[in-house]
Amino acid sequence: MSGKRMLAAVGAAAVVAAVTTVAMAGHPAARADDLVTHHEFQVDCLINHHQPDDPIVFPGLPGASHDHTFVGNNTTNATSTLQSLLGAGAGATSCLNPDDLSAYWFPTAFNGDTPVLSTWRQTIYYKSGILDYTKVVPFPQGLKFVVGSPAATIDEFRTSPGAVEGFECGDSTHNWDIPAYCVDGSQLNVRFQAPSCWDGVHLDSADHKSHMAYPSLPNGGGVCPADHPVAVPMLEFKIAFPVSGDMSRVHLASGRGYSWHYDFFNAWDPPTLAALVTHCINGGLQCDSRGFDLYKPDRGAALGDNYRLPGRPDV
Amino acid sequence: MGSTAPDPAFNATDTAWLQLMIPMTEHMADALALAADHSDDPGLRGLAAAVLIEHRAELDRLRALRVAAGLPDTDVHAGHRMPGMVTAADLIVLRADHGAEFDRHLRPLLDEHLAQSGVLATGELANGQQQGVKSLARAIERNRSQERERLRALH
Repeated sequence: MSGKRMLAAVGAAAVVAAVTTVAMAGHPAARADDLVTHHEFQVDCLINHHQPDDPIVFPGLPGASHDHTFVGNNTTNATSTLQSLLGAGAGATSCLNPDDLSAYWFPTAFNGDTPVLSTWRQTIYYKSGILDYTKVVPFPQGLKFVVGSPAATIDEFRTSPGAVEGFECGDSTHNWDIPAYCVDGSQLNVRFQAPSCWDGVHLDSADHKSHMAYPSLPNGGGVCPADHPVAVPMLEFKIAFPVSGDMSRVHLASGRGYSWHYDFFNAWDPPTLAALVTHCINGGLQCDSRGFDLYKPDRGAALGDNYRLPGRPDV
Repeated sequence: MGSTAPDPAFNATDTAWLQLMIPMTEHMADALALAADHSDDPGLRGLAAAVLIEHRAELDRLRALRVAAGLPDTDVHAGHRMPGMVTAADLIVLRADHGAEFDRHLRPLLDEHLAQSGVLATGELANGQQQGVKSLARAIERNRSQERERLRALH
């Protein structure tokens, strides 16, 4: 069992625990392990390539886009389809989960003319966007969508339902553009939440957004609207850029910091995704990529040590 | 606007190409139209005028194909920074420029636009489907390549 435990007030705190990051102490009277504070798992993926392609917005047109940084499926390019992503085969991904062949991408950050590419794993959370986390179901295979807008103004970015705390580095948070200066040695981070209510019918739409909608409240507090009734996982990209000090020449390929956006093309192996959603989201756990919650080890892991469903061989 | 359903003869690449080429061509045409009054270089002015004529002819065909495809006429890339796309900010700069300063700003924009048009035409020819779109892509690829040669030949 982990040595890292934080004491937390129980009772009243449990009501707000859904939006705070708290680990329960082993206080006998509190029945702490019954309190649900998270309902999520995560994928952890290295950057595998960057190029000016976008298979959602510019399918079949290599070089049409501003530069994108790709994590996940190793084969993602302008001509990627669900078939080609799946065809890459288990393990053809920079994520820890060999059965997640999804493609994830975001605009490349540049410092002047030099791309800023982390060599650390990037974290993408799969959370519940709605209060009733037991109702979240897996993404349908082949679902794809764009999150955020490269044409957003700073105010549109700041007030977007997906906005969390904007750009942050060191102690500085709630920056809605890239800060002019970051403490030397810090990283620039940005978190942004995706819409998590699906219309239940379309895997894509003309603007690559309309088939998805945000729930009625941010941070997992609300419900899905009637015209987008299916609650799927709420993605939250937490991307880190290893650049600090004078940030005046740091920009995104799509423009200013508030042009932040990202894309998702689902190509998970369906039973693997279902196992993680059931165990971690519906089960109210704070899971790692293996579907294991280190604060509730008695609940077990959804996947084996090789990050695959039990019985599947190492890849 | 029109409620025509998208025509399935046009695949996703055809659609994406049309929706990108139209604003790209329109914005470059806006920049080229300034050359007559803002540039002092007869060679560049002449080239800009010729390219502008080609662009306007291509826009007629692009827009007709967009209608045939059943697509709305909204600019889905409004406000986006895309390679080869002259932006609103670029146009503000160009409108304020005169003489050599104007030429210095226009030439790289034009060169990048012509080069990127070739890249996009290649993609459309490889992965597009509808014959009218592909035929126009072939023409644009040829025109822009010749125009780029002419631009390079200007001192």
